[in-house]
Formats: sequence, C-alpha cells, structure tokens
Amino acid sequence: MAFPQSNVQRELTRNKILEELQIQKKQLLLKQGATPTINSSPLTVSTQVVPNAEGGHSMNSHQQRAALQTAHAQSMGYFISQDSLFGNLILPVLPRFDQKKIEERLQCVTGFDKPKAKLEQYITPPHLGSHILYTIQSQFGDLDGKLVADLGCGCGALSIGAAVLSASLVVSFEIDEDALQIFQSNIEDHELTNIDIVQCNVLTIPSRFYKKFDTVLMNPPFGTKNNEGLDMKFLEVALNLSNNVVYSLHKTSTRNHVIKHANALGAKAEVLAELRYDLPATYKFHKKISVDIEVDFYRFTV
Amino acid sequence: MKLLTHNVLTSKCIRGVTVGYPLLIKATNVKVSEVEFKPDFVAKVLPKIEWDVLANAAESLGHWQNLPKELPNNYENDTDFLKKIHRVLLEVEVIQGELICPESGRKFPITNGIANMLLNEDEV
Repeated sequence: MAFPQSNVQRELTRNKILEELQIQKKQLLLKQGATPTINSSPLTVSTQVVPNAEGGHSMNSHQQRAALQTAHAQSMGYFISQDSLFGNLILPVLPRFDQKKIEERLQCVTGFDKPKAKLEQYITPPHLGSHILYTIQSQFGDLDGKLVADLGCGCGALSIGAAVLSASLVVSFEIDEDALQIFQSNIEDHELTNIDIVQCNVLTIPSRFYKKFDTVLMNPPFGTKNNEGLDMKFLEVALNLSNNVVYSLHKTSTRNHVIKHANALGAKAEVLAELRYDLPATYKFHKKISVDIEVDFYRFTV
Repeated sequence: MKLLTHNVLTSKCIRGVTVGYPLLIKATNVKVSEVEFKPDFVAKVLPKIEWDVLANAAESLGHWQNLPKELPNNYENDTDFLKKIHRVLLEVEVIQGELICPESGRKFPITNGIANMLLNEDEV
C-alpha cells in the first residue's frame, strides 16, 4: 500500500511547488511596480528595429509594448516578439514551469574552475541558457531529434540543455582540457548518453563535418581583448557545419557588422532577442562586481 | 567517442597529410550505453554515413552484429535494421584508446571517451 500513498504525496509537493512559484512571481511583480516583467525576463524584448531587407514589423508602438507587458504579467506563459505578416507581434512560447525545469538542470551545471581570459571563458548563465534553448525547441523545433553541434562548449551548459531537450546527438567541440573535465563530470551528474565530446580547435574542425549538422549552437568568444575577429571566424565555421540553422550570441554593439558578415557568407541573420548578459566579474581587469553586457540572440539560416 | 563522430573525424589538419581518413581505432575500453532510439533520425543520417568505414570500425570493436557488407535498399521501414545501426552509430563508445592517422601514424589519445585531436604548433 505504500505505492499509492507516495503518489499522493508527490502530488501534494508538486502543488506546493507550483503555489510557491506563483507567490514568488507575484512578489517579483509587486517589487517592480510599473514596469512588470520586461526587466525580470532574461529575454528582454528588443526595442530597436532589426535591420532587415524585407522591412517588416517591429515592437514600436506603445500599445504593442503594453500588450506584451500585460501578457508577461498575467500569464504563466512566456512571450517573445516576432515579425509577422498577420500582425501578431508577440508569440506565446512556453509554460514558464517547464522552462524552469531546464533552468534547474542548468543551475546544476558546474562552471569554470579557473577561467582563462585568453580563451574568453565565461559561463552561460542558467536563466539565459534555459530561455535560449527553450525558444530554439518550442518555437523552431530545432533540437528534438536533431544532430546538434556546440562550438567552444566550455563546461557544456548549452550541450547539456540540448541533450535534455532530446537532441539525437550533441557533438561538442572545445580546446580546453580543464573545461572538458568539468563538462565530463556534468554529463555524468545528469546521466546523459547523447553527448559526444571532441577536443580540438574549433577553427580546424575537419571539412568532412561540413553540412552534417542540423543545428549548430554556440556562445562564442566575443572577439575582444586579444581575440579580435574570433567571433566571426567561429560564425564562419558554424555556417559551414550546419545544413539548416545556427544559433549564436554576439554583442549588440556589433549588430550591423554581424549581419553584414553573415549575409556575405550567404546566410540570413535574424535577431530573436536582445539579452542582458549579467556577467559576474570573472577576471582581474573587471573593475565592477558584475557587468551587464548587451548581447543579441541570433538565428542564422544557411 | 561514438562511431558516428569517428565516421567524420580526420587528421587532415596535420601538415603534409592529404586525406587523413579513416582514422584507425585502437581501443582498450569500449562501452555500450543506451541512447533513445529514433528511427527517423537514423534513417535520415544514414545516407551521410561512409558505410565501409562504419563497418570496419564496428567490426574492429566487435559490435557489427552481422550487419550486411553493403547498405541495403529500402531500410527506412526496417525497424530491426535501424535499431542495429542506431546501436553502432550512437550507443557503442570508445572510452579509452587511440586514433591513428593512416598516413603519418600520428596517434590521438582517447581518454574518458574524449578524442583529443589537438596538434602541436610544429605539426600544423
């Protein structure tokens, strides 16, 4: 008779968790007063018009922004802006609860032990990673059942998220041995079998891999400090590897350059969202405790 | 290292190596770990696979399961066949061992399932 009892108990705890989430959400909303979730949501909606050859819609009018804010405040769902010929500029994406689950998984992903400035090693924050991955799956279906590559995977936050969201196989490429050791123990902790790691320089991935992957993910080095142009070299490799799409993060300040570069390589670039990357001071040259870096979340179609 | 990955890995980035494919596998520890079977995925990925290379690799690890020497026709709906191939491509994993470049004999270690393809500066 122990079995049904434990089921009831599980139901109770689940209800409790849901209740707590709701309470937390209400408190968060109260704290923020007039501007409800625009800032609490990691996927801050872009107010800028994305340079786009076809022109298209954008979230310009106050009415549209207000509608988005209300949607965020009143629903369990999650919304992002989009261009649509039919005028439905906000798109409901996911029940927040499910997305939370991914975030919880990513919170258990151990980050860099001793990050290396030379390799521009920064961890992908869990709330950011989870929203990115959930958008990729729920809006575009680009993870479940796909052959996925993760370039410069580091400790593997994106790879693990993609594997949890049922990618058939994630092949993760990384040059740094220390990061890979942490990644390996992350994989073991999560008991995932659909990830394969190759230790190599992303820029010398053999051409036999070209066009083999359905989806390529990366959170590349931003190409600052001594790595100037490295982000664009990563993008070039990613576009070569994919037969369909590449998802990537690049600094908002370089948007025109990124879009031009992608177009020159024959790809179509689309900024899905403007994110605020809350980077805890990782290196000595960081003077503040944390820095907000504005980053664009891209979808490139090859 | 899974055999799907091995099927595309080369050592071409070594200076003087022209093809660097296929890499020879010497395994001291091979594991088979269960991966969710998706027949559609296997059927879709098969045309991109070098069948001979896969067959030789799997045979050398003792996991070819008497599969045919040539890729049969009309495999899309043959669930048994796809399941076996799924095992070869995604479930068989070299944990310890090395990959050997067929041209230069350069060895690449496989440790904890990770193939280390990094080269020294003087090899590039």
